Amino acid sequence: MMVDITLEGLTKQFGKTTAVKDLNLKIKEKEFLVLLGPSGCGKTTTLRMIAGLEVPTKGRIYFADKDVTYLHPKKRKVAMVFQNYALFPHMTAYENISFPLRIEKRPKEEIKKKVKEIAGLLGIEYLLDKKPGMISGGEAQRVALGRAIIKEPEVFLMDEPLSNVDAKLRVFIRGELKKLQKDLQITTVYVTHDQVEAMALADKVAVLNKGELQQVAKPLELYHSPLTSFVGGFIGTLPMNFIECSVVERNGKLLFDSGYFSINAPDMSNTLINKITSSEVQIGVRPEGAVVNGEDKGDFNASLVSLEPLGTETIVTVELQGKPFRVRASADFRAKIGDKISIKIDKQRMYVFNKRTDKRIYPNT
Amino acid sequence: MSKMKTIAYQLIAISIIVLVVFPIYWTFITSFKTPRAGLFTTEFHLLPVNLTLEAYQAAFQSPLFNWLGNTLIVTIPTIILLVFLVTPISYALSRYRFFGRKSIMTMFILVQLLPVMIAAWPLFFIMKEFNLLNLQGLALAYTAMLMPFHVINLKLFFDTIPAELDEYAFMEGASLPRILYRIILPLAKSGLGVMLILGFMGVWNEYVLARTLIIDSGQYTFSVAFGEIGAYWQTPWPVFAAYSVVSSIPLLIVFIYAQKYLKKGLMKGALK
Amino acid sequence: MSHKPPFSFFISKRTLLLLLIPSIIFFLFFFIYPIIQNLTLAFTNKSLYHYYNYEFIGLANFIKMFSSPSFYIVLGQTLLWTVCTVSLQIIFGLSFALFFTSPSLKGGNIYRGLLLLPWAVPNVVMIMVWKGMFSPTFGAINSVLGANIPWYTSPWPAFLMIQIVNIWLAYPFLTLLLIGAIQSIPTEIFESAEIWGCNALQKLRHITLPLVKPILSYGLLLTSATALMQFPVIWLLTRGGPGGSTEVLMTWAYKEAFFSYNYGYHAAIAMFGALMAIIVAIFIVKKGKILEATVQ
Repeated sequence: MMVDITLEGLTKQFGKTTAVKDLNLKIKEKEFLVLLGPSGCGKTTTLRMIAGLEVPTKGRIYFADKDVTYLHPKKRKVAMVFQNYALFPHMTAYENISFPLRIEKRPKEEIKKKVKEIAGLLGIEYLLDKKPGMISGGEAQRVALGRAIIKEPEVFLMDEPLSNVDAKLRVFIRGELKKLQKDLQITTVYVTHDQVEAMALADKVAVLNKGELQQVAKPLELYHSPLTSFVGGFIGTLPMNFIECSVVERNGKLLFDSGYFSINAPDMSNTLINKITSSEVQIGVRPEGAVVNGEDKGDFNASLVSLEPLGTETIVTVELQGKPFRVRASADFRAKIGDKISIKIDKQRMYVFNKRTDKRIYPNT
Repeated sequence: MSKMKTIAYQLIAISIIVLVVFPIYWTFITSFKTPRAGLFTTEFHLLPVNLTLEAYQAAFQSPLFNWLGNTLIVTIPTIILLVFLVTPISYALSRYRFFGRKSIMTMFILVQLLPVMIAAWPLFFIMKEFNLLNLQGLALAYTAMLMPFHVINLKLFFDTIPAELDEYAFMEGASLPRILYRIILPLAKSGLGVMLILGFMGVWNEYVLARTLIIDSGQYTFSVAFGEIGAYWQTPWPVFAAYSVVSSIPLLIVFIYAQKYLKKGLMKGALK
Repeated sequence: MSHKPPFSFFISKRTLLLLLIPSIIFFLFFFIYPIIQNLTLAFTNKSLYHYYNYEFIGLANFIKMFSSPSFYIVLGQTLLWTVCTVSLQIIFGLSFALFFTSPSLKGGNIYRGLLLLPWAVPNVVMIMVWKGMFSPTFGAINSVLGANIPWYTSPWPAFLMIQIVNIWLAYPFLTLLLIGAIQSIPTEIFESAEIWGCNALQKLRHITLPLVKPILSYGLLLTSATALMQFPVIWLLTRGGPGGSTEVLMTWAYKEAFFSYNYGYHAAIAMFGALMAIIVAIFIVKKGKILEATVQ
């Protein structure tokens, strides 16, 4: 029986530091939710609270309708996979996988049957009598998974399980994990700091920063429609470019002045204009949201800092406001370091963020 | 030139080792001499002229085994008590941040600098009060004496066992004793090996407390007995040498036995 | 990156206390309490005659100690003993460590193992064996040297004797410690130094010694504390003789208790010695910044 998870006002303080601040999140049953964010953002702490390894300072956790906030982990029907697998080095794979059942003192026959079943599912029958020191990382990962699913949990919790895995193997196991989750249909909460992983695996991604929830959405929505500048900057293999601007009025028009150039503020309703509570905004432009414009007049000129020809395209980096500004250009783009390059921003793909609150002002949907 | 250097180094190394080993070697040789002749020993009989086991015969008839037995009677309870007292506190220090944790650890570290003498006589008074003089009290005193080092040592060892193991076991509902004794301790085998070896050595090398707390000469540990023998010159050299050889055997056995554990422990860590 | 404790759920306060209390109480009672008792004893007149009915006599013991001429002699001898043995231990320890980790030494592993031999045999046994070897009439030392040095009956030979024996017993400690320290220096550092053209002496001065310094300080700390409060080695070899020439604080203190039954006075002397050791320890710790490294 799968459950949905509700986090209500979840807060965790360690002494003076607040690791998680008033988190409200709902995870649908059978959903694969990824908690994404940089180190120290509170994602692991949240996971541990769901697991029962930490007790929240404030707030509640519900599995379906049941309040599990202070419930002992073993009563929550959760299974957890740790970053370094946490397999017992002195036990064989068989003993590791059967551990949960042995704690419950289930009959030997039943245990044997179940372990064989799980091992078959994961393709690890051949290493059942080996100890963790003698198997590879990928195999150990599967043993850890086997141990996690043998008790048919209702919730699957994973704490950066792929961090210790080889880069090449990582992509492969990622696919396996996704497939496994779909097959078993278990509500899953997965923690990672790697946004590529999050985008690949998740049904929904919850982005956290400094203990606060930034946004919860499907991966693509997160990419195209970031609600805060943090999300915009965090998601995407090539980071989003940010231009700091002041809002000025000139000739009755609203302009964003970056100090080097100005852009006409897009048409915004009055309500939106009121949202510009400070006179500082950040314009977010993805590398594919700008064009390197040889002849036409662009929005600004900047000097070339580096050129990375990738075969399919070229990454052009110029300097703007003392920071790098990256643009995706065609594969045959040529220029010299130091040349002045003209850049044009695609206004349809531009984001405007309120500098003070980090929240997105435009587009407003 | 380089070959000269290698040879020179070897020569120096060998000379140093020879000098270091000499007393042990001499003792060993002397134990095979006849009790009378040994008095006029010159060490350039690299191999003793007349091998005899007379000295050992005399040793076997002496209270030597009584003394060794006494030492063993003290050592075994000490080690057992040590394991039971040190494991919980090292575990708590390793896994749990609590008020006073740093103070306790600092206390255990600093206390190691103090010599045992400083507690010797008050311990005598205490043991006398509770009628625990001689070997019983000595075992208790030794345990307390060994605790500081081993608490810190085992705690550092536990630190190398990932806490995730505990957490996982806990999540599955394992109770604390089960976690401690079925999961953590088996993994800490090499840490326990160190405790065994150093604890054993600690007791077998100790003189002051033994001298102070044992008032019944029938319960002398061999440390005390040796101290007396040497002072009063009643024993012929070869016999004394035989005593020495025999007394060294238990320690050697423990050394060799625990070496295996130490090597294993070091290997496991490397595989992580 | 693993998260550190507390496991709030994992160990309840009650379980924690259960883990800690028995061990702490045992230790406090059998070690800390005696030490404190010794401290108070120093201010009393407990002795054979005042065993149960001893009373507080203030600083009388200390005044007695500071006004007795033997105190200053013993103190001087203790300091002399300490300085000599610690210096020698450092010299030998460092030299051995450097020599036996040198890449020019083939089979270093075996040699390093053999260096441990003094520890394979019980202390007391070897002290008495050495004593026998130093016997003026029957001992191996005089036989080999073909001389007739009065090791037992003359002050300076006796001093030399206790130094030699102590070094033999103690050198493995610093040697091992320093070998560990030297071996933990990544070889890449030495390799890059070679590329820059450093010779052996420069490597020693600029790489090895600075990196080894913290551990050396720690070793120095333990060695000095042990040396200041040394008892078994000197006691078993000379009992403080001949004529009190090798008497140190702890042997003197012990005699007061064991032979004269002046427990109060004994405590005063022992406490003074401990105080000295503590001061030296503080000094070394401050200079070496050791404590932060170990308490985590």
